Amino acid sequence: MTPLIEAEGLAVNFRAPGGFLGLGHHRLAILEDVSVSVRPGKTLGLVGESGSGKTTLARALLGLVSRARGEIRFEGRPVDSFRRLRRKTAMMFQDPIASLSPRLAIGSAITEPFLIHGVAMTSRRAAAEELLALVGLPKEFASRYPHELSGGQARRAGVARALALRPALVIADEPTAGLDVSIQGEILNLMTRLKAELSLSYIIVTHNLAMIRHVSDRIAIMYLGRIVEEGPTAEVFAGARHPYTASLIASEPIPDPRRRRQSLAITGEVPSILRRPSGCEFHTRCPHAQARCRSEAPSLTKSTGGRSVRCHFPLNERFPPKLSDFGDKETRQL
Amino acid sequence: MPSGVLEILKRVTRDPLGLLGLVLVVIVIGAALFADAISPYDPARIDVLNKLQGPSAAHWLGTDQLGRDTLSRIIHGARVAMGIAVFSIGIGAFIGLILGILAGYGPRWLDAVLIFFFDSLSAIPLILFALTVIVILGPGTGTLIFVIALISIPVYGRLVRAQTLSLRRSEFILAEQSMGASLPRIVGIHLLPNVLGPLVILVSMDIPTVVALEAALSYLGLGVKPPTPSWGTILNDGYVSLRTNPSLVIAAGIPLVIATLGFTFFGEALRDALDPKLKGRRAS
Repeated sequence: MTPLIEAEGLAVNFRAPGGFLGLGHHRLAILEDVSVSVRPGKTLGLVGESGSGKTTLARALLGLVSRARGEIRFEGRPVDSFRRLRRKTAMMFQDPIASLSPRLAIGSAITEPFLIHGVAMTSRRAAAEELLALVGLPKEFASRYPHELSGGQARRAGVARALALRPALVIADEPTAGLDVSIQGEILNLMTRLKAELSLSYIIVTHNLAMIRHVSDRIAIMYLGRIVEEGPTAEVFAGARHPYTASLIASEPIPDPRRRRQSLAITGEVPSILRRPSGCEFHTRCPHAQARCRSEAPSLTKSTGGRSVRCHFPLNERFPPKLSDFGDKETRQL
Repeated sequence: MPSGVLEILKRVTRDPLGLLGLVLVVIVIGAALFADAISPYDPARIDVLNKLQGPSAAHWLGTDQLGRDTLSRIIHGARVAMGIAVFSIGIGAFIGLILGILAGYGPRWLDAVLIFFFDSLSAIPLILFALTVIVILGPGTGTLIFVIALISIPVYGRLVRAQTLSLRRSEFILAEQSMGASLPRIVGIHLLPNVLGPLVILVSMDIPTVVALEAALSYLGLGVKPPTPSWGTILNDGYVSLRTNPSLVIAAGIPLVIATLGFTFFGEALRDALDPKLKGRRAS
C-alpha cells in the first residue's frame, strides 16, 4: 500500500539574521534528515518537547516553510506544486481563534476553500450550514466572528474549514492545546468520528502523550530536529527503545494521588540548536551515554517490529523489557 | 460595513472628549464644504474704506488691512486647510500603505531597500526640506501638498510594515497559505482590513499636525499664495497690525485651535474605540 504522504531526508534551515542589510546571516538547521510516512486512513503522532521541530516538520510537509533538502511524495508522486497538495490536505493550527481571520464571519471563513480552489457549491450559505452541522455547531454561528467564539467552538469551526473540500489528510498542530479537558475530549471524539466517516488520515503534532497514545496508530518521537524513534504507538509505549522516549513516557503525569512520583532519568534542558552537541545529540542528558555517544552520531536504524530507533545502545531490544533499562529500579510497569 | 462605522462613532461619542472632538471636526469640515454658502462676504472682496475694523454687526470678526471680511476669510481658510490636509495625507497614506505592505510581505531585500528609503526621508529636517522644495518648485498649494505627502510616506510606511510583519506570521495568514490561497487574496481580503484600522487612527491624529504645518509655512510666506485665504496668511496679516488691531490674530488663531484640538480628541477617542482591548472600559 503506497503511503498517502511521505517525506524522505527532509531538512529545513532557518536564517539567523545579522549584518548590514541582513547579508551576514547564518543558517540554523531546524530539521535534519527527517523521513516520515502516513498510510491512508492512519494517524501519525509527532511528539517532542518545544523546539524539537515537530511544528516545523508539519509546516514543511505542506510547503509552508521551504526545505533545504529532501523529497515529499503525495499519493506516490513527488510534489511539484504545493497548490495541488494543499487542495487535498488541510492544516489546523495551534491557536483555534487566531487561526481564523479576525474580520471574516465564520460562515465565510469555513467556505473559503471552495473559493480558493474554484470548487462549486450550491450556495455559500448552504455549504456553510452543512459544514457547521458536520462539526456539531448550530447554523447561527455562520454570522459570528472569531472573537465571539470560545476556544472549543473556534476549534470546531477550524475542523469544519479543514474538512470543507473533503481532504485525504489533515495535519493538526496541537489540536487540544488551550482547551478544557472536557472540551479536549469532545474535539478528539469529533476528530475520531470524522476520520471514520470521511476516511481521513491525520498527522497530529503534540506533546500530550496521554492524548496521542489513544488516537494515533504510529508515533514519531522528535528531539532537536531529528526523529529519534518511530514505530507503532502501542509498542513504543509498551517498550521504548530510545532513552529519550523512555524518559518522556516516564515523565507523563498520572492522575493517581497515591502514586509517588518517580525520579526521572532525564535531567537538564534541551540544548540550543545554536550549539548542537557532538555525536549523539541526546548524550548530554542521556543516563546511558558512553564514550561512543559523544563522538559518533547514530543513524536511524530499522529495528524489529516495524520500528526504528536512533541510538547506539537501544533499550528493550529483548522481550520482555527489563525494568533496569530505565535506569531506575522502581520505574513503573508500562 | 456601514453598521460598523455607526457602532464605532457611537463608541467615540461615549467619551466626552471624543464627542467634543467630533463636534469640532464636524464644524471645521462643514465650514470647508459649505464655505461659499455660509460666509457673509466674498473673501477676496476689497473694501479699503473699511480696513482694519474691529468686530461689528456688519463684520463679525472685523476686517483686515485691505478691508476684506475676516470671518469669510477664516471660513474659506478652513477649505484650504482641509483640502491640503486631506490630499497630502491621502496621498502619503496611500503610498505608505503600498510600500509598507511591500516591505512587510515582500522579500527581505525589498524590505531592506524600503526601510533605507524611509530612514533617509525621515532623516531630513522637515522645515529645511520644505524650504528647499519650495525654492525649487515655487510656493503654492500644490508644492505644499507634495512636500507634506512626501514626508508623511515613511510614517505610514513604517506603521503598515510593522503591522504587516506581525500579521504575516500570524496563524490565520499561515492558515490561508496552507489552504492554497493566492497572494492577492491573502493581501486583499485578510491582510488589508487588519492593517487599515491603525492607519485610520494615525491619519486622523496627523490631520492637526498638517493643519498647523500648513499654517506655519503659509505664515512664513512659503505656503499658500496671498489672494487665497489661509489661516497662516491671515495670522501673518494680523501680526503686521498686531498693535492697532489684535482681533485679526485672535480671529485667525481660534480656528487653528478648534481644528487641532478637534482632530486630536477625535483621533484619540477613535483609537480607544477601535482597540478591542479597551472595549467597554471607556463606557463606564
